[in-house]
Amino acid sequence: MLKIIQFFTSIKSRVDAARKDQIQNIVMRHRRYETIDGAFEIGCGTGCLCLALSSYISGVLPDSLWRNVIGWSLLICVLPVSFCIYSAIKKNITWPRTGYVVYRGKSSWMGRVAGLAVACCVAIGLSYLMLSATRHHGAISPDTISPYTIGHVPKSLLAILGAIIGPLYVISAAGSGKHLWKRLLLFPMVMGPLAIVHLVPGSSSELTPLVMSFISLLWLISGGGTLCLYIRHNKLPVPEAE
Amino acid sequence: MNEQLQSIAGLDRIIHEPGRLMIIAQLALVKECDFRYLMHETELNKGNLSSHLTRLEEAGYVEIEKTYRGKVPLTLLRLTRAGRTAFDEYRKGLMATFLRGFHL
Repeated sequence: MLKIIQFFTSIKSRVDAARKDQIQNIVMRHRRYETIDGAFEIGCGTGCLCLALSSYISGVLPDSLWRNVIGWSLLICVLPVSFCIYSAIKKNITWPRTGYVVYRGKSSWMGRVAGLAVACCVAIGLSYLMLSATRHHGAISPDTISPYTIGHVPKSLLAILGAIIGPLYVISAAGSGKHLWKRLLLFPMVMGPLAIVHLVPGSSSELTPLVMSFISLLWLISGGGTLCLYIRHNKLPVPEAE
Repeated sequence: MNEQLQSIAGLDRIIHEPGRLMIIAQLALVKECDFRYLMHETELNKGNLSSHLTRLEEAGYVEIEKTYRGKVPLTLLRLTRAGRTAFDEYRKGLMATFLRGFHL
């Protein structure tokens, strides 16, 4: 028992030492400044909200051309809307307060292309798995692919959605080491979808918007809290007299 | 003169000043940044930062571009190739000096 306690104590002291290391601080600076204002989290939350809305509208509206148009429009808007919100926060709130910076890209263009290729392969693979699972459950016929069918993921996948998004949240927001309260949000993010799927009655198409809204709400709470704290601690400088 | 002391004397005096070292170390991490960012990160006041930047610009280590974002004046700062080389040499020199170890 004593050895186990010693083992965990030594791990904790190593982690603390690494965190206090000045070199590590400089290396982490990029991530700290990127997440200083919560813009990334608010962008992610808005993206998830668009996905939830798309899924909800596609489920509520009767099968028609308009349903597909609205659903696809919302799906296509996910990335541009997230990026616009992120840019607007940076441009109007962060840069006037703590300054504008562009960090040096560490990866070469070959690395970026390789990363993009791997990301595309993973996305295609996951989409194929999701569609095959959905067809296996008889949710859609192989001929119909619409926002409604994309939103109609199996319950098992919905339940682990938080566990899939959780690591991204840890890396992007909670891992910056600045706001320790954000780590508390990881628990509801992982357990929330699991609880919703098990406790709320309904089909997976009814639960998808609920789970997505829950995850987007957590992202928005985290981002909104960070932004409020940032604005409180960094006042807008008074313009100098001519 | 002792070889170790010689290597200390050979350090770049423009970079060696703590304020300028902070600025150079910060600029080495970024592609470009503005005056406000540097002020926020180094916690130097406007006058100090400005005088250090002028000195670094005169030495050819920092490039200063005065521009506008909309109607707001914007001072963009970048480390030049010469500045990056000088910083690398300074770091190597410092490491070499202290890795040999002082025997007190």
